[in-house]
Amino acid sequence: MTRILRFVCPILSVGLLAAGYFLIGLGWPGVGLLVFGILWIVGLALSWDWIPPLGLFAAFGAAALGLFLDPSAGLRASLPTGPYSLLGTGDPGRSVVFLIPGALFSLLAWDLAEFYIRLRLASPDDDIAGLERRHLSRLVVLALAGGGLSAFALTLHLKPSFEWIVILMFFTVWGIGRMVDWLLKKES
Amino acid sequence: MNRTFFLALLIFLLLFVGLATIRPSVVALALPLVLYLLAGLWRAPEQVHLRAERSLSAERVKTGDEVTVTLKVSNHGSALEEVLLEDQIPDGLEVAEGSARRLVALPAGGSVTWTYTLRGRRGYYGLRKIQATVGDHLGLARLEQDLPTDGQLFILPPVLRLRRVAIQPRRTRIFSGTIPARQGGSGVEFFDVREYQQGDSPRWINWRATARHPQNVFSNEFEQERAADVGLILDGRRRTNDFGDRSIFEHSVLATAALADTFLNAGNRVGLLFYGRQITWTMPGYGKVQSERILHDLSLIEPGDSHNFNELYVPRHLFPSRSQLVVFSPLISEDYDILAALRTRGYHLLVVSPDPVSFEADGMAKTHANLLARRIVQLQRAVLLRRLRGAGIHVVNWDTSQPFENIAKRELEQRLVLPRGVLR
Repeated sequence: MTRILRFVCPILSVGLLAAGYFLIGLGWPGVGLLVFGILWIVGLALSWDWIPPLGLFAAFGAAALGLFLDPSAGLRASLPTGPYSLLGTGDPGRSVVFLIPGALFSLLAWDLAEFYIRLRLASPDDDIAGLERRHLSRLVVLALAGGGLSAFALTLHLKPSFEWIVILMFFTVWGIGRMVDWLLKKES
Repeated sequence: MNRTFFLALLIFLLLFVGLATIRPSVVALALPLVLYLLAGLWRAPEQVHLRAERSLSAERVKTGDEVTVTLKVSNHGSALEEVLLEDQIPDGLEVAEGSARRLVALPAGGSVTWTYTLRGRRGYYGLRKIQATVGDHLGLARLEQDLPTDGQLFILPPVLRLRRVAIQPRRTRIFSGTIPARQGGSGVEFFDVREYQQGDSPRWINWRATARHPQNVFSNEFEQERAADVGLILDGRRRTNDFGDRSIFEHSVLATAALADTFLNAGNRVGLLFYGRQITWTMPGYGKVQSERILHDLSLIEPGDSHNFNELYVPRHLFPSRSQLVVFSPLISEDYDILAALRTRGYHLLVVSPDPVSFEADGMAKTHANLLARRIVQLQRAVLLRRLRGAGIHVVNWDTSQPFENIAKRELEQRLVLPRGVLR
C-alpha cells in the first residue's frame, strides 16, 4: 500500500500545484512543476534520498509563490465566510483550492517516503500490514485536520492591530522553536 | 538533515514570508506542517525501559556450521509505537536464515521474541548488544538505545582429516606412539638383526641370517614407536601474509588445524606458538582436550605486525631440544637464517609454506609485466626453498589452488629421504 501511495502522492501534489498555476495563468511554471514531478517520481524509483525533502520544499515553495502571485480575488466572496479574517488583509485567489491541497500531498509524499524506508528495515515476520494500517490511518486524520485547519484559517475574519500580529508571531516562532529544541534534545 | 529541523525550517520560512508579504494564505499553508510537528511531539517516546536476553544454540561451532540465536526484548516502560530492534552482528558473521532486525510496536509490559541463524568465518565474536531505535509513528523523534546482552561465539577453523604425517624427530618421549624412535624394540618396521634372546617370538627369527651363521640364531629387531614432542609455529606476520586486501593466513590456519589434529590423534604432545602482533603460546598437551584448546586458540588469532621483532622469532626455551617443529609460514628470504639455526641446534623441522606467489598472482591481471614479475619472484622463492631443503629442512610448498589434503597425501605421508650429506 505504502509502496503505491508514495508514488501517488507526488503525482497528486504536482498535478494540483500545476493546476493552480494554470488557473493563475502561469503556464510555463506549471509545466516546470510537471517536469519536476517526473524527476520526483524517477528519484523515488531510484531511491534518491534527497528527492523527498526537495519535493516537500519545492512543493511548499511553489504553493507559497502561487498564492503570492495569484492576482485573482474573490475566493472569500464565493465562500461562506466567518466573522473574522486571520490577518485582516488579502483575499486568497481561487488557486488556493489547488495549491494548499497540492502542498498537503507533498507532505504526505515526504512522510510516506520516509515511512517506506523504515518499513524496508522490517523483517518478513513483522506485522507490516498492521504498521502500515496504523500509520496511514493517522496520516489521513492528520492530513484532513491540517487541510481543515488551513481552510478554517482562510475563512476567519480577524482584524487585530499590528502589535498583536507581532506578539502573535513572536509567540508562534518561540513556541515552535521550543518544540523543535525539545524534540532534538529527546533524540540526542 | 534532521527531519524535525527541516520541518521547522520550512514552517519558519512560510511564517516569515507570510508575515513579510502580509498573505494570510501563506501563513495558512504552514498550519498543516505545524499540526504534523505537534503530532510528532505529542506521540514522542518519553522514557524507554527495554531489556534484552539472548541465547545461542552453541557457543563453539566449526566454520560453516550455523548457530541459532534467540532474542527476547521486553518493554518495562510505557507503550512504544514503533521500535526497530537490530542485533549488532560483528564483521565476519552473516545471517543465514531469518532476520536480525525487527520492527514492532511494543505495548507496556509486552515483549517480542525471535530467532535467526548465523554463520561466519573463523574467529571469536562477542555478541554484546542490540540496538533499539524507538520513535513516534511519524518518525520525527527518534531515540536510540543499546541494550546489553550476554553472548559470545567461537567459530573454529575446519579440521581436515589426514591419514598420517611422517615425522622423525631425533628425540621422542617414553610413551608409546607412532613416531619411529630410532631404537630397537617392539614395533612394526624392521630396524636391525640381533642374536636371538629368550622370549623372542619364533616368528621374529631371521632364518636367512641364521642359515648364514649356523652356530647362532638371529632374530629381527623392530623400531620402537613412541610419542614425540611436536611444536607448531604459526606465522601470523602481516608482512608475510597480507597482499593488498587478500590474506593467505587462513590457509596457514587450515594446515595448522589439520596437522595439530593428526599429531594429537597419533598420541603426540603438541604445543602451538603463534607469532603475529604478539606471541601466543598454547602449552603442550595430549589428546582431545588439547585439540580443542588449540582449535579454540586458532579461532582467536588474527595476523598482525609485532612492534618488537621484525623477523621471525622462535623462543627456543619453549620447545624441548631435538624435538619436532612444524612451521606454517608463506616464508620470506629473511626467515632462512632463523630456520637454519633451529635446524643446526638439532630440531627436526617441517615447513608447510602456502605459496604466496601463486596466491597473489591469481588476483592480478595477466599482463606481460606481471607474468615476468611472477617468474622472477617464483625463482627467488625456489632458491629459498632449495636452500632450506639443503639445510635438511622438509619443506612443503603448497600451491593454495590445490586442496591441502592432496598436498599432505603426496608430501607428508611418506617419510622424507634427505639427500646424501645432509644433517639428519
